[in-house]
Amino acid sequence: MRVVVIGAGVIGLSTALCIHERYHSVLQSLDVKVYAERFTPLTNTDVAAGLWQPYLSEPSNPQEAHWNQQTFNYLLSHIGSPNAADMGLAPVSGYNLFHEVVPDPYWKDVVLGFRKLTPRELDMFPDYSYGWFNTSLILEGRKYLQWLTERLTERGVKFLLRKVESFEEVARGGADVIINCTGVWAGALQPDPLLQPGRGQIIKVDAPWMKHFIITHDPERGIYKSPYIIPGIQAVTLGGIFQLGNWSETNNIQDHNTIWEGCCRLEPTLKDAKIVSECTGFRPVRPQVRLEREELHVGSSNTEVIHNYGHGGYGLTIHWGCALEVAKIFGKILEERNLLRMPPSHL
Amino acid sequence: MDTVRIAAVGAGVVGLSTAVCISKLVPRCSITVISDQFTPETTSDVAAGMLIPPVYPDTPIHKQKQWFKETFDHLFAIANSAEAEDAGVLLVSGWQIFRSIPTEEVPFWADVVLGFRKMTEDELKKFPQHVFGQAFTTLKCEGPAYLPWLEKRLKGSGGLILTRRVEDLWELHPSFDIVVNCSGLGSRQLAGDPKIFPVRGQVLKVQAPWVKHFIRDGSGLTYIYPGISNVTLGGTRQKGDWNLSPDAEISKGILSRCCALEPSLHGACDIREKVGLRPTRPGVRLEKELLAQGSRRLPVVHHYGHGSGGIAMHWGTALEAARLVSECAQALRTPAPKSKL
Repeated sequence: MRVVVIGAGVIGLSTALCIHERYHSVLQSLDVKVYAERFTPLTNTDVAAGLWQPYLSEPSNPQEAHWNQQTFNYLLSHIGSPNAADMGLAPVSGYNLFHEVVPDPYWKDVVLGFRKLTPRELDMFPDYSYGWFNTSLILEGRKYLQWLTERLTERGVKFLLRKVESFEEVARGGADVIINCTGVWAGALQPDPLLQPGRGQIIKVDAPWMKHFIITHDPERGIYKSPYIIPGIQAVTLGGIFQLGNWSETNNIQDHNTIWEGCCRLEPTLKDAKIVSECTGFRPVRPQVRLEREELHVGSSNTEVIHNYGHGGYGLTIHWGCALEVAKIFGKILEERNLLRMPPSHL
Repeated sequence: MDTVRIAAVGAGVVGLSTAVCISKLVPRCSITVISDQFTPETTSDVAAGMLIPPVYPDTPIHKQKQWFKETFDHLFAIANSAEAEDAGVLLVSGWQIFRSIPTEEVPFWADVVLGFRKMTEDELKKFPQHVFGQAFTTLKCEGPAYLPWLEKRLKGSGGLILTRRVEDLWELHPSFDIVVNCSGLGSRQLAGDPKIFPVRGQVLKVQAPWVKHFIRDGSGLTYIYPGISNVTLGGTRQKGDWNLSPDAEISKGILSRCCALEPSLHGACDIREKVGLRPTRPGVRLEKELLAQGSRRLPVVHHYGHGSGGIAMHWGTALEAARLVSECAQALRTPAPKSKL
């Protein structure tokens, strides 16, 4: 069984790992390769701040809520392991701020210790009148991708720097199953009018006194368009940019000013923080994640493609639940082809 | 008497903050801080500086709560200002956990810190040896930054700093009109006070920047306090122990206890050992004393004995000490042949 995963962001690498973990021992042979044009630190995952937090409104596909929760619980189970920090994983608490009373989010019982902010806490943020406090998790993109790469390399998974022009090309190369984790660039392999870039720009600063995340919300402007401050393991990410349809990969000075002014107004202590880096990334925005299989007829053989892209600004938040779902679909394919030596221990 | 000349003995958090409060409260005074030790060599520099107050058995609870609240409010304002980094003050959230249900589930300071509540069942799962916990957000005030910040404030209002070891408070007479004794453990000698004794604390300062929460065992013996540039792991409470040298066995024990609470600390590096002697007393001594020797008179305000609550209580007690000094200054200025202080 030859599997090719296209894409080496969090979705590609975690899906590759999930499949290998579950099927390596139940298949006669399992060969997994990752093809990608960009590897860490050049992926969109590397730009993400890495806070586990879904969008506030319920997803149009209720499965996504389940996948988010599965991811949180999976990550939480690694807290308490000495290696958590190597994964880029750590608990982090913080504030979500609003201009008016809003209903509780559907994930309030997934995170830990969810509660409303007290009046004295709100005094810290004079522009806001309502908010939440909860404990969540940070999963730093870069560190996590490095960790996933190590785990995959240990398992003999090969990585190839390759620009894939078509699924057919990969199928002709001998792949039985292709996992399409090409994120915001999926349209190049198969046109998808539902997929758009949600351009984001972030500034990373040195501000080690910031131990909490602070995320503001402005319903008039929309998600990610309001300032946010998210501490990572070493640096603190400042953001607040979301531009649908903008493919510009260079940092923009106006966006820089928007972020800087918004975050310093929110948190005056940042005024003298040293800037470490600044980058741009593209959230793969889609009304819902595309997670489904598609049969490809190449010559006389059938190649299966499993699509797993379009995770918007919540890729890290949802990644493991999606990887499990892809693994389930993969398992079905194996069953259909009578390839399973023994029933899989758990799916 | 024009300018009242005031000497503050001791340059830890208590001495410096008292001097700053005095310079703001007492009109027409000059204030000089005199000490043989300054930051970063004071006990205040070793302390993690978490605002989680101890209990002083000899002090009424309402007074402790007042001191803690005044300190919290003072530092909270700094934490939310552009000075926060310079002053070494930051907000930290976390958990205080107990192996058995404590007699007091809600301590007197619960409504002074932010967002105080009981931990949920899910939160307690992270600590399988513990059955009860409190979650809250409090402040951390770091000596190595805060003390220089106080010194700057003091000098800005005309205060002076003098390096000298004072062996006897009478040395300060007649150069100074009032002495504020903030000498901590030094008061055993300077004030002849047998009630003050050291409680030795050994800590480790380590690099573990992924730790964003404090974790404190309710016994107070084991704690993890993330700061601006390091994480403090502790600790010990050794009564009557004056030894300032770190003990390697104790360090191993601290690391092991902390790793049990937070396994990711196995990856901590750049481990530095520090020792501080908490100036412990059944209650903070905050009172006036008129020293007399022959015809010489020296008004003294004692302000020492904060034990493990130096940073947590400093501003509230400093305000009170400044009020006492102000009363002394007033008495000195009031012309009366036989004035009683």
